[in-house]
Amino acid sequence: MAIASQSVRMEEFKRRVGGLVGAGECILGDAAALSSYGSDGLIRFRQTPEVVVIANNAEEVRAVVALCSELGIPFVGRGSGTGLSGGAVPPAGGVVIATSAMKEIVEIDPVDRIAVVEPGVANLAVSERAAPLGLYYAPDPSSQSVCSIGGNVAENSGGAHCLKYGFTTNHVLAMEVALPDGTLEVLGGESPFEPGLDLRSAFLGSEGTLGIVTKVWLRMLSRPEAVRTLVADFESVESAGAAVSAIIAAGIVPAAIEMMDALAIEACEKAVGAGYSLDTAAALIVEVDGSQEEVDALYEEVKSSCALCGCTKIREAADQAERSRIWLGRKAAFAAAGRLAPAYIVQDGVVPRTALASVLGRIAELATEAGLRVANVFHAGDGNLHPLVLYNPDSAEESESAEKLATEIVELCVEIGGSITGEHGVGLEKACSMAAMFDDGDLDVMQRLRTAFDGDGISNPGKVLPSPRLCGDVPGRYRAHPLELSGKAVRF
Amino acid sequence: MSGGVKGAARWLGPTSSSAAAEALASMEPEQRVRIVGHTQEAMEGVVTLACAELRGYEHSPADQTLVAATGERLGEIEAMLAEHGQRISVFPLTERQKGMTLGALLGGGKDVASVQRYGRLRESLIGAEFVLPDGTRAHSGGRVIKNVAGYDLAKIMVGSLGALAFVTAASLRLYPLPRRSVRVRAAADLGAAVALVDAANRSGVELATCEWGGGEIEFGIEGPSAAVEAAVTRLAGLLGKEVAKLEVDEGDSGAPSLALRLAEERESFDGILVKLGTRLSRASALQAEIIAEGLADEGVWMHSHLGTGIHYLGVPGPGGALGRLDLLLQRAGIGGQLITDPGPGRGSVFVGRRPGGLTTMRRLLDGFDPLGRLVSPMRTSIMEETGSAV
Ligand SMILES: Cc1cc2nc3c(=O)[nH]c(=O)nc-3n(C[C@H](O)[C@H](O)[C@H](O)COP(=O)(O)OP(=O)(O)OC[C@H]3O[C@@H](n4cnc5c(N)ncnc54)[C@H](O)[C@@H]3O)c2cc1C
Repeated sequence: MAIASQSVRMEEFKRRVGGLVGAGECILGDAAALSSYGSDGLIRFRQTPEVVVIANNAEEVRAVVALCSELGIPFVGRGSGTGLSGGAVPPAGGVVIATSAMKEIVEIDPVDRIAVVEPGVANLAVSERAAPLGLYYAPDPSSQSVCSIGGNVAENSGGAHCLKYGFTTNHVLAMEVALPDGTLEVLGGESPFEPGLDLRSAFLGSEGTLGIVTKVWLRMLSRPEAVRTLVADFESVESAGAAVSAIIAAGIVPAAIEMMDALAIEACEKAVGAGYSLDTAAALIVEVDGSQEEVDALYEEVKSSCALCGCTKIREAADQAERSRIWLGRKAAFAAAGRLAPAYIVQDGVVPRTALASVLGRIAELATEAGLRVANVFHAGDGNLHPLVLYNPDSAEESESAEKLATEIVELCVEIGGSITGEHGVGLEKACSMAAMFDDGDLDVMQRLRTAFDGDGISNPGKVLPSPRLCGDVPGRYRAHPLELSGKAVRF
Repeated sequence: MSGGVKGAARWLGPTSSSAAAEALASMEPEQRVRIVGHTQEAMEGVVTLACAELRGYEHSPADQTLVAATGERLGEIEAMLAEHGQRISVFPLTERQKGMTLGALLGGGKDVASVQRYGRLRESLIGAEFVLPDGTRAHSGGRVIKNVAGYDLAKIMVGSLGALAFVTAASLRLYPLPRRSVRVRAAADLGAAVALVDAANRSGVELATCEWGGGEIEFGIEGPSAAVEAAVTRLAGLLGKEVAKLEVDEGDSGAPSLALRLAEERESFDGILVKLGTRLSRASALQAEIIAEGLADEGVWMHSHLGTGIHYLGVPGPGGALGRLDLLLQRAGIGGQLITDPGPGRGSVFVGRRPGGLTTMRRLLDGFDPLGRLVSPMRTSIMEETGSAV
């Protein structure tokens, strides 16, 4: 049987999709509307989709995925579009399946401490709804008022409080997913143990490449009884880094330890006036939480560790309002960088915590060599850096230098045993950097996993794994892998 | 590499991942392989590939990470880390578990009482190196505690029962040893225990462990001394008429904790052990159904890592009890797995509701082990459940 051309198949898709979800939920011909789904938070990657489907429930998602599977049409799941690695950029000639309208919080059980939510629910909305029950959802990306739980699952998102509480993967018990073959399955269970191979863990952080999440079972925590927050100023990033190590070495796992350098402080201060000192080289935000007695004991020790490492000033949050103000500044850091330069690249890399000070020194050297400024905000407790590379987009030369510097920074992270991404994901942006961390054998095995979920390669193709088309052919003769020869795997 | 031939069975203990890769790559395609920790027992016609001789580790105390070869013994790791005031997320360990390899812990997906505080081993597993049955070497994750680059292949190895790959090294996030640690015990039937756990959760007491079995509940409380003191006082304040008295144990009496006693009972049990997960609030209903079905009269018993809803059922065998339990769990929509190796030819390890994604699991086995080389109860079960030839 002759295989119909892509355009013929797309025409058929457009004819049939309205019958699956209702005409109102499909964007087919409206170029402006389609274009607004062309990128995520990383706007330098853009591709206008052929069709956008705004799904209302799991069955609609399943049916649309099944139609894509039948017709061999690539698709991408989309939540709130806040991703920072181009993960939700549509594949060429593909369909966006948006789960942003699936916003029901199905259940929050205070005894079992489980919330069951649809994927379009915003991260913060879960905690807000659970607050009267004394519960909250721990992972707290800075984008939490907007980003969706489906997107969090796909990215395995983190946040400031992940040092103590862990990442999305540590708080998701199970997901219902529409697999790329058009079947609906629940991966995981209502307790952390579920028989069989752990597909839940494989799916978490898979960036939309293994299917679409339609429901999520979240592990909820009791709101800590007490929280204390301080901002400690230091004369250098080295001494701030030493304080982080001293706190950890004392056997304390604070709820959060965030670091900002002078430039980042300046940006945040200009943006929200959080009350940070403008005359300091670096500042730490440290938060401890738990029972009142635990917090009382640990908070004093944190203060002593800071003092021993040459802290010049400590500001203590006197009440919840001041604590919120401190965090508002930190959480506004990415947007605030716009106050320092007309454009900036948000980088996301990880280094071993003990290498923080030396890496920051090296980043400063690289920035000087490139003639650019870099502001640093990061989750210091887990070594997750977010250097903000500032540049002028009107200068082609500066734009290019900024891209080069951002890449050099991430390569530096890998060189010293870290990672190319701690929370923003690989997406399109870093697919070609995967080879810096993983060799052919590693990537081959990842491809085998992907093929097990998506044999036809239709779920968010081009993301996560490098492809010859995306990254340029590797020099040398093309050699088909035995799995390709046996028809068990395909490259895409 | 050490090895031996026992009849037609061979035992291989490679000392490096490259040696393991070479051994696997050079085998005949039809050669079947079984992956074990340090089990010496051989299997006819099958190469037993043991991780026991993969030794060595890199400990970064200040980064709180450990990269260890999977032949390292848990007891030795525990003792080494304790010198630095640290531990892995898995505790307390029975004497038998202390002699276990890290590989067996990982592949077996064993849970112990600390699952309450730190979750399953997968939660603190930040990377792994492994060799596929065709000799392909690979790794995923790394040495940093935060990392979302690529698929998390390490976590899918946990509990895979040797059906996917030979894991040669694992990277783990470490935790500080607590300054003070006490155990608080009370006599409580399951219903009262569930109510007490709920009350403890609401009271803001953070539990390190939460074990129930044999009519007793035990909480582990850890932290700075004053915080532990206050938590114990709070727990005492939660007692009602069902749970009248708390016994506080600082762990200095030498008496084993309930967590260890229960784990040892499970280890020495000679029937069939089933592990399953439910919501906390369903635990008592499950127990009631087991009693109503007459299974308790036949000797079926239950232990729980109660706060997490992970339970163990001990089924004295042989007899019809397992079959009836399977049906009961199916009706209740609860998924379970036999953790006593049912042995070759005994069929699926799954009982009750079958896990979601079985077809994808089968495709995963096909992708990782296209030659069907690995002998594993997980493989047998998935193949049987999906109607595929083993
Ligand atoms: C200002 C700002 C601050 C941020 N701070 C943080 C932070 O602190 N920590 C952090 O980790 N991230 C952060 N991010 C990144 C981003 O918010 C997260 O990655 C978030 O999880 C994305 O969610 P989303 O709903 O916007 O997903 P989208 O951007 O819509 O999609 C992201 C990825 O998820 C997939 N996806 C979305 N929905 C589904 C679904 N239902 N099923 C399957 N796949 C799906 C997409 O295909 C895509 O690959 C920040 C972003 C911004 C703009």
